[in-house]
Amino acid sequence: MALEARLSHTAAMILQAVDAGHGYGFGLMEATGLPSGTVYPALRRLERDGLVRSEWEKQSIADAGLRPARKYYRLTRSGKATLEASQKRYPLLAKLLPTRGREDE
Amino acid sequence: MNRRRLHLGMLWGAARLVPQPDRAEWLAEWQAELWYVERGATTFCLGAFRDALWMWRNALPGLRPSINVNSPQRCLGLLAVLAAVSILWLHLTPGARRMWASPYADARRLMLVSAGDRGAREGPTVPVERYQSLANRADRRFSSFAFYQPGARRVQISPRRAAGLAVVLGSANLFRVLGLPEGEVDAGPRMVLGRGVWANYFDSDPGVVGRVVEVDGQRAVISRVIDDGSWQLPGHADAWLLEDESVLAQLPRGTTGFVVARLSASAGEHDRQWPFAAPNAHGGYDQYRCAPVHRSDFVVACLLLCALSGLLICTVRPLGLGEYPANGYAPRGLARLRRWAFLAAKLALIPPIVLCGSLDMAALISIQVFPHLMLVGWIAGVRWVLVDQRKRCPVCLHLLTNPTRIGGASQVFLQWSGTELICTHGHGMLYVPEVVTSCYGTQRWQYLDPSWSSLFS
Repeated sequence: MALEARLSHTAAMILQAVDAGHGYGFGLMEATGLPSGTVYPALRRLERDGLVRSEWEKQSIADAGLRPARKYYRLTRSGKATLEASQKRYPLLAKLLPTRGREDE
Repeated sequence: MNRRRLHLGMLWGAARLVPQPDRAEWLAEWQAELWYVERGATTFCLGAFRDALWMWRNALPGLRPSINVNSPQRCLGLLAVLAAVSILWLHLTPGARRMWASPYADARRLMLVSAGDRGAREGPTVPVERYQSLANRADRRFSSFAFYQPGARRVQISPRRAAGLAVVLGSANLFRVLGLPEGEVDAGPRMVLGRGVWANYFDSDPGVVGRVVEVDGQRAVISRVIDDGSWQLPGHADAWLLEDESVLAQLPRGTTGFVVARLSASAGEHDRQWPFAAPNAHGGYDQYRCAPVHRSDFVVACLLLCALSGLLICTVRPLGLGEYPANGYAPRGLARLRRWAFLAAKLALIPPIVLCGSLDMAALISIQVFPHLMLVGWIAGVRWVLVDQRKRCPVCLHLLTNPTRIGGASQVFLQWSGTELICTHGHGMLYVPEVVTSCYGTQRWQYLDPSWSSLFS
């Protein structure tokens, strides 16, 4: 697979964080420690390459939480495959950001 | 200015770079995410520009937002708007204004006094007993002296909360000498808080004035909250503890600090450092140096940066400004003057944009980045003016369009030799060579005579 070979460590870390359940931009910033100017463009790139897909949460959920609606990112099938390949290349990724449940669940 | 409005304004500005179909959703996402940011919101919003640039770069060419500066009027109008916005921003935002204007009243009469040969900004040099000797002595050159000593102190904010803060221990008249408001508190030690400490440790409590805190075990009444940028003297300060002279007298002998002096009206204003001697208790004289608090070297530094960047531009390569070798239809007189006037107008608008824009940006980030922003901005600005001038028709000053690559018959040997651009108003064509050929070594303008006009009407 050519794509995972091109995936930088930063992009792999964001992919891992998305898989770990940090599904929206600011959550990803907090989880990875990366600045906003890195996280959001990386998400756009990953979405353009079909590794993640985004979806706005329902307004009723946001209203119940007294906060603005979040745009959640989820891994696609291709994203999961790429992440598995990246984890072989960067074995510490999964230890750095272990998988957990979604924040709204 | 309300910081939230500033951040929303930044996001709105960044959104202008995002292609129209994605703009609303992009802005909604960033606005939603901003809600979670408690600290560093400005840095967070600066990241939006990087994201917006990514969107801009990756948009289809037809969807990319662009600014139309095709005509000279639009070009000058845009520059004028940019200059006006930069200047207005500088005057409207306190952070940016402070970088330009001193926060102290009549700052040209404020001096920093240091003992011996050391500069006042190098560290605390004046022992407290020598400060008292200066303050108690009648010297016609000075109307008042104040003492302060920066240091880390433990502040008991509430029975359950304490913090180590950078607290300046100052004489009671410190803020009066500086011309800063200090608040009305009857007597005893007063504490003035910086806005950052007030926000972070006192939860921006509007009723904080009058509250009692303990600084290193000593009670003090909070008298006022001031902007952090109001303190431009040596030594970091989160808060200021103002004590009576009797308390300062109890400091151990030899405790050094900084001394601020205000010049009397008869002493005039001083822009430079000067030495003076004052009698001491032993019958001798102590040597001091007086340096102005107001940093007039700021303007000099700006001018030096401009000159340096100008030199850098000149040494990179000589740039033609559209004075191409031409045939007999070259415009003369007023048309030539108009072109140079257009160049002069653009060059005149760049300094206010770069200077005020750099100050605006430095106010958002840090004063340390100001020289870098200024240098980069000036080089980029002047370079843009020159490049823009060379891309315009010498007659009507509109941007040249329809670039066409041209080359020789044998592409393997010559490949493309240059690019040709055309003035859509029919005034001529510009040939820009990519390699030096036997025909053209530099870019060349070909004026078209009026007989061509039917093609462009």
